[in-house]
Amino acid sequence: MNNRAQSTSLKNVASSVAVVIVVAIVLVWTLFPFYWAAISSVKSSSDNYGNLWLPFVHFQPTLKPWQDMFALPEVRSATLNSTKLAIGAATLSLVLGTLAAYGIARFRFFRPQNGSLTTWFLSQRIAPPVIFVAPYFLLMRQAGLLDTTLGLIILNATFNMTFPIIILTQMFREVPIELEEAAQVDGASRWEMFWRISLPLVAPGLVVAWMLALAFSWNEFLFAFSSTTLNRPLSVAVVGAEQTRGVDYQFVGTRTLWAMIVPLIAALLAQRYIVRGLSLGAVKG
Amino acid sequence: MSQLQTAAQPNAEPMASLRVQPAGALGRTWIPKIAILVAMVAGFILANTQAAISLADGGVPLSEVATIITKEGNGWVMTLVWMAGVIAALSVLVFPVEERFIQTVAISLGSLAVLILPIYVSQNLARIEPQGSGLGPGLMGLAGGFLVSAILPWLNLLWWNRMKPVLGPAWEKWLFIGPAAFWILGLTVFPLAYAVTTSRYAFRTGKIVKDVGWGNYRKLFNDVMFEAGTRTQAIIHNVLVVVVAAVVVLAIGAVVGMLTDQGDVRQSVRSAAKWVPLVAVPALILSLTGEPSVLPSVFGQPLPTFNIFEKDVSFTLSITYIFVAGAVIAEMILGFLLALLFNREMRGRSVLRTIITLPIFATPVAIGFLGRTIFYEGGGPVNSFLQMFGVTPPPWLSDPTWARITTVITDVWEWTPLVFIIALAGLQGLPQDVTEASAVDGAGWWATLRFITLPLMAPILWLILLLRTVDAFKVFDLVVAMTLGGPGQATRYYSFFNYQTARKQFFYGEAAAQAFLLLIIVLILVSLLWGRIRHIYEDQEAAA
Repeated sequence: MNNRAQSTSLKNVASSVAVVIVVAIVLVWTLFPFYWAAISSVKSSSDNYGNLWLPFVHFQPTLKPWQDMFALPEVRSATLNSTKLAIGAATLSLVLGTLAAYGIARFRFFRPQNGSLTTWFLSQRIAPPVIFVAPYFLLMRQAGLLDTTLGLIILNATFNMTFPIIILTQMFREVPIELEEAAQVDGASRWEMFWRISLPLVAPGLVVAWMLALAFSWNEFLFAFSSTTLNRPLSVAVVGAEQTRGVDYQFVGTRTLWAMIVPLIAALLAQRYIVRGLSLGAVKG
Repeated sequence: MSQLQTAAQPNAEPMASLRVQPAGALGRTWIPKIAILVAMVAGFILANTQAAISLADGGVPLSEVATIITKEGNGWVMTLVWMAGVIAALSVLVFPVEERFIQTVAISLGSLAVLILPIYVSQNLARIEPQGSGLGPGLMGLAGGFLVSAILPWLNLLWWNRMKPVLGPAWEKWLFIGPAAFWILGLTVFPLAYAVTTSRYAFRTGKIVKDVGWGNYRKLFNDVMFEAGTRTQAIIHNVLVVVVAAVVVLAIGAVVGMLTDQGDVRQSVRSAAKWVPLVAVPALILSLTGEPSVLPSVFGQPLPTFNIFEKDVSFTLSITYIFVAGAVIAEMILGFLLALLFNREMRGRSVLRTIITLPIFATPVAIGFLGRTIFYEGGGPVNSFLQMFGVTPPPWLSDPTWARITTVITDVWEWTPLVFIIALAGLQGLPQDVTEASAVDGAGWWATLRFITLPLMAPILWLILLLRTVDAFKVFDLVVAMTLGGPGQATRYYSFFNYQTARKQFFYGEAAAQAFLLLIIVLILVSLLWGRIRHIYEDQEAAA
């Protein structure tokens, strides 16, 4: 009996040690690229090559690469473009998506039915965006929107509208209908029921959907790459820089970190409904 | 795809929605519909048979006018017009009585949009056909037919089949859903329709040079299937035409089934199947006799080619399949195992989960850019690390096979977390009592996984598989930043290849045709997996 208990506890210890090891490996695997970018971004150009992995031990960190990067006007304008683009696209998709989500959640559509409408909106997430490259380029050329931030805002709002629709349809459904009915009895209009009663209750969902749309608009590369030359957002500016300079650690480190920082912060803040958004609403995490 | 819900209705329905029966019998509902459709069809037939622009001697047919307009760079006119016509005609058939108001709006807006073509042509007559004396009977007929179909539904709504309230039950719902629906219609459906128009032309240096009909698609199939013009090629080519015709008919059947909500999508596909021979046989005849004809190739002449790259499509498809399979399989296994590991009480789990999700949000193009230095062969960190243990590092980015493996590794780094968090949320949503009961019954870890967890998780795992597979076909950012399709063409995966056809070679017509091939592949995947996933959504609807 004693023996058996001992062996079970040994087994438990062994399994928790195994878990710790696996978790350690996963953490190193996940974080190494970020760490590498971070230490690369504080190296001086003479420390470019070799086993220089520990700042202060292997090399003396310097902020010069960052100063060099921010001194460049194209980096500053790309940052501004990305900010405008991401905020604009996220806000636009949130406004359109929230209205549609409320419509799907609160009303009955006879044909096409609510489910078909949802599928139709979700299909934006399924279609490979590259199929839109040729038509968008030609259409935007005709509309004079090529190489403008406005054009990119429009495209990103289209492709990220799924996030607010998925997250908010479910959240509106979770708002008790009795609240709206009570307001209706008090003489509230449809719009007031939406604006005064339901919308404040789904506020956390609004924030998360906005941030998801923001992060994915910020990260978007294909349309930005295919339609901008002067008004480049940050994602394109990163690759554009690479083609002129080759492999240059501190150069790569500063730019990749600078390009990633906003979506990473959004990811840290938007943990709550993230699974819902990413799994097309199939899993409520 | 299918409707997400079949059984349950949304619970919340504050507005009473009585089913409004029209006053008369079937005739009262159908006569106006048929009248509207007849007006549209008459306009369509007149436009396609009569001269669009009249000249002193005869006239210019619509097809020539369309080519001229599109060549001018205003292809949106033609696309908008045919799309609006299709939408107007579908609106007649799709909307039920309850939605009569929005039906009326949709039909008349669509019909009025068709009038853009005659107006555009008459405004730009001098540019399109300097000798033209005015609009011909064709375009006049088109305008007349669609003017009638724009007015008729209003007569029906306000007089012939008037009902109270005119706006129908809960009409505000269209104000909520309208902006997004209109937006999506304009920015995804319209560009796709425009791509169909584009794919009919051969482009040189970004300008339309020739109407090649289905030539771009023929070329694509030749690229995919064959090496050079042989007899077998021509035979398989014709078989393929039939297969494609069948697939298109079935796809249209599925879409119509979805729009009209006739139960299961499979059912609507099945009912569309009986139309396949009706389309496939003429398709076969056309493909045997069409222009450019495939018959010459039977006698040894090669098919006409438009692309300067030979056999590119089949190569790029094969490496894309390899990439997708490798990345998705690795991500599914690693992500699910990791989720199993984290599905227990452990300290700091939410912090760990947050850290692990970071790669999903890391800008993919930046990761590719960073990957270039991490896998740098002249002393990058991975190589330094391997050399510390005396391992000779492989040629990460300079060897074709290794370059593919490296892109897969980077993709696995970026997207395994997605599998992980969805699977973890799914595992946490499983009924605890079932797994606990099996543990009490003495089932081992493997037995619990195999007979309890996996069956319960199956729909979610299928969903993740679908999401990841579809996304893996989109891989673009990574390749551009890390390998630029190289070395040689070793990592020129389909999206990047398609992008280059459009934006590097400026073959927009071919690019559009290639894009539709990708869309078809993705749609086949979705339709294969959707049946296993849909009841997740149905259960949700039922619970709501």
